[in-house]
Amino acid sequence: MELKKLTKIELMKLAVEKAIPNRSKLLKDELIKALQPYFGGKDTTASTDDNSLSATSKSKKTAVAPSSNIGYENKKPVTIFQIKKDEYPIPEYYNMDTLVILPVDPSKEYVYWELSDNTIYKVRQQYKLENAPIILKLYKQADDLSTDEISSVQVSRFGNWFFDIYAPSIVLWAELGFIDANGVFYSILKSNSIRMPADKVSPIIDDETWMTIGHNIDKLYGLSGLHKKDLGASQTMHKTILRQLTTVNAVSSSSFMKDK
Amino acid sequence: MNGYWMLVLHAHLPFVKHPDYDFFLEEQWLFEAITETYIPILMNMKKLENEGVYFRLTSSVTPPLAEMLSDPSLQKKYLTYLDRSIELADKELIRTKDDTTYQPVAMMYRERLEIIRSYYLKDLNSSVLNGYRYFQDKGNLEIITCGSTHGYLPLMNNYKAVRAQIELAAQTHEKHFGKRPEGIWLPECAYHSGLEDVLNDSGIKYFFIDTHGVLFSSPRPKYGSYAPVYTSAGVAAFARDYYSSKQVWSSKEGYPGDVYYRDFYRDIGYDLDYEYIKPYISPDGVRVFTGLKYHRITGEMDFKEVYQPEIAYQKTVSHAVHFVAEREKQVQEIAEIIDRSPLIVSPYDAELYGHWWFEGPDFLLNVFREMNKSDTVKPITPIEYLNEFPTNQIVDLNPSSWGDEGYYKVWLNTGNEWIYRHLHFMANSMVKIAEEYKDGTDSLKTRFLNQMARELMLCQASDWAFLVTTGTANEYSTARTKEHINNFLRLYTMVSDNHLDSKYLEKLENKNSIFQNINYKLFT
Repeated sequence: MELKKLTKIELMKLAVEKAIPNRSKLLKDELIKALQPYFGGKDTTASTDDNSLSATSKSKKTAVAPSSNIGYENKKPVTIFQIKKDEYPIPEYYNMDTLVILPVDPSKEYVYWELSDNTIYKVRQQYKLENAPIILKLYKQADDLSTDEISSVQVSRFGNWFFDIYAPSIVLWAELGFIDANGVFYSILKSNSIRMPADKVSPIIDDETWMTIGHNIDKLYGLSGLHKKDLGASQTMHKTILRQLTTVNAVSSSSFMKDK
Repeated sequence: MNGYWMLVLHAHLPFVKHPDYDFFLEEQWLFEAITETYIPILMNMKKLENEGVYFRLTSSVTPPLAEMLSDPSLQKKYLTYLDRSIELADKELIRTKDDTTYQPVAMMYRERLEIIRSYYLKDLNSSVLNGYRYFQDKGNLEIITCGSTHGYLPLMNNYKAVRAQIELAAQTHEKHFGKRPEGIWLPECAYHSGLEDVLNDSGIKYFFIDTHGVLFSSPRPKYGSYAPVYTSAGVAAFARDYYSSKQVWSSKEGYPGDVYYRDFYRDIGYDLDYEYIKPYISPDGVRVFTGLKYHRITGEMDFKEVYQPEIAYQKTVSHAVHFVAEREKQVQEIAEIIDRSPLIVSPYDAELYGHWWFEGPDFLLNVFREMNKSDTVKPITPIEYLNEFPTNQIVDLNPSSWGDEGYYKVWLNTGNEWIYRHLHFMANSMVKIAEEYKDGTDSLKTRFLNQMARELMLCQASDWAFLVTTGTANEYSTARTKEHINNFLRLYTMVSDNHLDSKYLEKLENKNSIFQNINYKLFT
């Protein structure tokens, strides 16, 4: 059995079985693509459709090779048409345009994304961008509310990325788009905006605080634990304790839960 | 009187129920926590009450924990677990009868288990929640809620999904404790801007935040971490005190590492002859903890001395004396700087007391006894404090959590990032389909929609991402996450296609049976 050789009705049956979202809207090629994670096999659509973006981005990827954690590309199963043993298979992606940014800490941001086949097709038609790479950009809102691009990376059509941008208290968002031969960026998706967490005491002091606490504020914050290396690290502390309680490391896995 | 101490315990376990198995390893989490933490703490509160000691504490009982503690099949399984433990303790008395070194410890466990059993059946009437309700009614205990399944709120990226976690938590709290909660322990103490509005909508008056969540707020907090602040929504935030946490958990000043305290890992489930211990470990022959541990920490070497309960108990007294004296010093120092009574907030995972630190419940008992004698520091609950100090500074809090390094990375890193794509898709789909059926539908389809909501929420539990990071129950956590994603997508497909498999639904309703009264319209 080869997915490519099945009829659309047969594919749809499999799609129902595997709970592929939006399957009723998918074309045959899209169904095959969505089912591949469950049945393994090579990207058969790429060979039938050389202009499709998945093929393009793969060939381009080696040229730029920006990083090691660029999504799931390496995780695609190689064995052909072997049903996964997992009792609860889940899709790798949903074939829906998605771009989400989440803060991790004041100097780390997480982004994941996905471009649907439909969108890729439309964009290629509209902009006539054959072979154009997909680019993920990170923007910040500058003090004067203007927009600054702060990072840019070439990616594949779905995946995730951790940026290591130090941006405490700053508003950030991501955009995903194509870049043409002249380097012009065509933005397709814009993410949600986030304000990054702060990592230091605010410069803003209200008058009342100043009147009552005054210069003692430094002392007060010191007594609150400010500048302690392990401030905001209950988990680290608990781990230390666990090490003390631990003598036989080998058995720790069968005990339960918390070592926050 | 110069200041106040606020003890906050966070009692939580993820919803783990496997009705198809008589023995399931991860179900033991609950049984161990009941025997080692929840019951010993309740029994010590009873002691304080009998002695006429003034004591106040705040404890979350998270919705999944409350649902498990009131689940008849899990209650039954717990009793079986307890009876097996007692049977083993009996055999141990015989095995150690000529052994003057170990017999006293074996006897201590035998007596202790019998007392716990009798307390569980007679005083608690087979439900741990009865104990919590009792002390709530007496005014000693303020019970607070948490996210409905301990979902990691800052990473949900969907306002309605956050709102559903909070509102369902409030409803479930009311079901178990007779009134809607006034306070909440945010899952993983994780805060993000805007959360206060959701809390306010559900009638919640206060929450807790890590030290730097307040210290880095804007404008600068007038009292550092020594008084609560208000958010713009009027919901109060109490900051975790750095020093009292450190006192209990730090490697230098920390108490639980004392060499006379019980060693956690030397358990007879691993130490004794295989054939002898076989009936009391996992039925597949894998050695597990039995709860009977005969050694003290002793030191860093492998050799362990026998545990001596009386000496360990005396240690809890001296550690409690030290802890209270330190709080008095702290209060006096702060009182010189600020113009009101300082408040010290000490939150801990409840399970650290008793499960990890065996003597922890006795330490708390003695802390309250000591504090009862103090003229400087007095225990207080959040509502009592807010009634006495209704005026507080308004600030914008800083996004933070109580995880390693204080932000979100424990729950979002290269090991567990894959979860969020699915959680977001599910939450968005849930909101969409709830909207579609906002005017109601037939009873079968309603059940499908409600079960979708259960699967989504169970999947959202921050425990799975946490356990993947720590590597302690990685396989189980990954499997659970995938199970709920798969269940959700199948239900979603069935509803979308109008092809409803009611046998499949019933199976899920029985297994993932949390929140009997859930209503999918929470997501509209």
